[in-house]
Amino acid sequence: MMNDHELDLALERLVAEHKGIPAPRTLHERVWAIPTSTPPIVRRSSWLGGSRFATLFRATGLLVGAVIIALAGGLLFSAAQPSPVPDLVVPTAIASATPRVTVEPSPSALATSAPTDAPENTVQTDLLPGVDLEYEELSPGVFRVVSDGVRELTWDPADGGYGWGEGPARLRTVVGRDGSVWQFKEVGADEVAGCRDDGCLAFYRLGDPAIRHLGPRYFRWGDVEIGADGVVWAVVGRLDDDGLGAELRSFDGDGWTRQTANRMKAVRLALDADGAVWLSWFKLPAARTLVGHLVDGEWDVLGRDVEPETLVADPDYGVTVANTDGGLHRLGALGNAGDFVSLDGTALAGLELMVGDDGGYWWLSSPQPDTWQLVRYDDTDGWSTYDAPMDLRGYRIGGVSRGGEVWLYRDPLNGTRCEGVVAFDGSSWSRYMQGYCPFAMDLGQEGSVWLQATLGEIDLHEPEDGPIAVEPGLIETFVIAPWAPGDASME
Amino acid sequence: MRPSASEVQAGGLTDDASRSTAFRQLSERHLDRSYRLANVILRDPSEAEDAVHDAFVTAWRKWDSLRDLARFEAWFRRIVVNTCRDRLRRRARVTVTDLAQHHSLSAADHASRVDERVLLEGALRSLKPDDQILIVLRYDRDLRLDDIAGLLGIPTGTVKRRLHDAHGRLRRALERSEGPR
Repeated sequence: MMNDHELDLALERLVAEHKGIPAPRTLHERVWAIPTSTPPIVRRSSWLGGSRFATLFRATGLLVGAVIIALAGGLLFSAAQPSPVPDLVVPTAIASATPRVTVEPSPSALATSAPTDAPENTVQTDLLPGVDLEYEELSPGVFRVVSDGVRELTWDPADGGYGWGEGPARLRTVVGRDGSVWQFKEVGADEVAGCRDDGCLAFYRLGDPAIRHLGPRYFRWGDVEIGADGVVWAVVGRLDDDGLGAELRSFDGDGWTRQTANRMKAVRLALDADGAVWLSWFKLPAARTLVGHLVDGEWDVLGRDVEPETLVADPDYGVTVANTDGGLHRLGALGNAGDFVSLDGTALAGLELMVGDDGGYWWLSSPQPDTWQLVRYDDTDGWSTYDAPMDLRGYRIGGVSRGGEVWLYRDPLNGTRCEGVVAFDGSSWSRYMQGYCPFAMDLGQEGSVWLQATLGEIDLHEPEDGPIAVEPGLIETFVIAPWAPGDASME
Repeated sequence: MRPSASEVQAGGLTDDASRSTAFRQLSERHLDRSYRLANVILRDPSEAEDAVHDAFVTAWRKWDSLRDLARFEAWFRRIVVNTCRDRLRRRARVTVTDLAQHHSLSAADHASRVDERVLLEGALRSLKPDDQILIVLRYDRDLRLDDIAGLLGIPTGTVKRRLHDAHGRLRRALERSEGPR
């Protein structure tokens, strides 16, 4: 067994040997081959070769070619134009030759992931590998997903008799660590086995015909996460429990397993980058707040009395806890107490905290009444605050992409205007899907944005003389590709 | 967050050809050192090659966020570390069955050295990616703690504490893999 000195020497040898290897000629050639003839694009990720798409969409020749082919073939396929990029990938579904939102797309603008007569030089846009999506393109890079191959994804809440404060408000879109996309919603009793007469909460993975039963409609779900192994983790409680009676359940494909004891009242859930399951909970009868992670079926408590308002997986730690005392507690996975960062008065608003792959934290803050800002903190640059070109009141942060973009949308429960979603890349703001009200959003690993939304004006505020005012609309599923240019600059 | 007027902003090179030239010159200048850094972290030459290539692609995409060309090296090395971290995470989800093929063991290696290397590599791979990165960087004689802190974007004190913890976990992993003697 190596002693400490021997271990030091062994590590030094290991490092020195690898450090002594010069870069191979092939690497020089590969780096030299990186196309730099087009301007760098800050906001795009590598998803589907986005920068190439962006360039292509600007190319008049491509657009003309796409229109010609669409007209001639009666299908919406685009053609690849000659390009200096050898491994060019071109989407088949271009619904509009002009880069603006088309809110009433033609029914003929449908494409499926299995075209039968696609031109030779076209390659299908693969929004979700392995799933036969049927979709149409609203604007460059923004897709309405009509079907996942096994079910229609557009539905009318009115059909199920759902009030707007129930069904749509309880929608969830969750992207699993394995890249799968899941939707959680209320369903009628006839849609899934085991439902009571008044329906139940259910969920399904896109492309999978199975619909899973989570509980009766008087249940609610809190945080939901899906691991790389496909296991679904959900904080589940009753609507009337005030958030203090929930339990953590896991679903492995066969059935639900309760993961918390009776005295643990689950609050917030997060899966870290290594797949560890983190939870905050109230411990009864002491009413203490604890944070811990699951190790071999047992809860290992790492944070005590930190008053967690939210948990978020942290690429540099296990998890970060945002709490009501105005700070971030960063907890490691293996027992180290982690760091504490004071928020210095930039109080969390809406209890939403997101962390990017670069370790930067993002949240919304309201330093003064009627003043809302986007705030970022990282250990290197410290604090940064950003004013938005729109009123951020009622907005939520839907996620931070791997490219560093912060995605936000106005929670329909907090506002009346349907303003789509906005993305902030650190310097500029872009809006997407103007006119839509998103109800649920999550980000894919490659930077795609999945959401469920409705088109039109809604008003969820309760008027003085009646019930909640509603402008009903269809709930639809959308994907925004990382290379989507957006409706317009908001500067 | 915005650069001052006096800063030379890489993205401020408005001419596409100038930006491309600057990127290529800096890439060539820092390629070898970046590759060595990636190879130390990943301990796999072919994967290090892919990681550095991906890092340069990322760097070009983010070129406009580089405020000062003089800071390219620090900026880019952090991209390399983040790229390697992603690869270590993905690697953690893959079962590696043949350690020897990843090491290019030379014929001159003594048998006990081979055993030591395999054990050490196995123990390192059992750690979280951040622990692996911390440990291997610590044994790079050219890097001080401040340098490591800069690469990882965390305070030096945090590096010390996490390094201490990581070292303990490596020791325990080694003990588990070595078993009782």
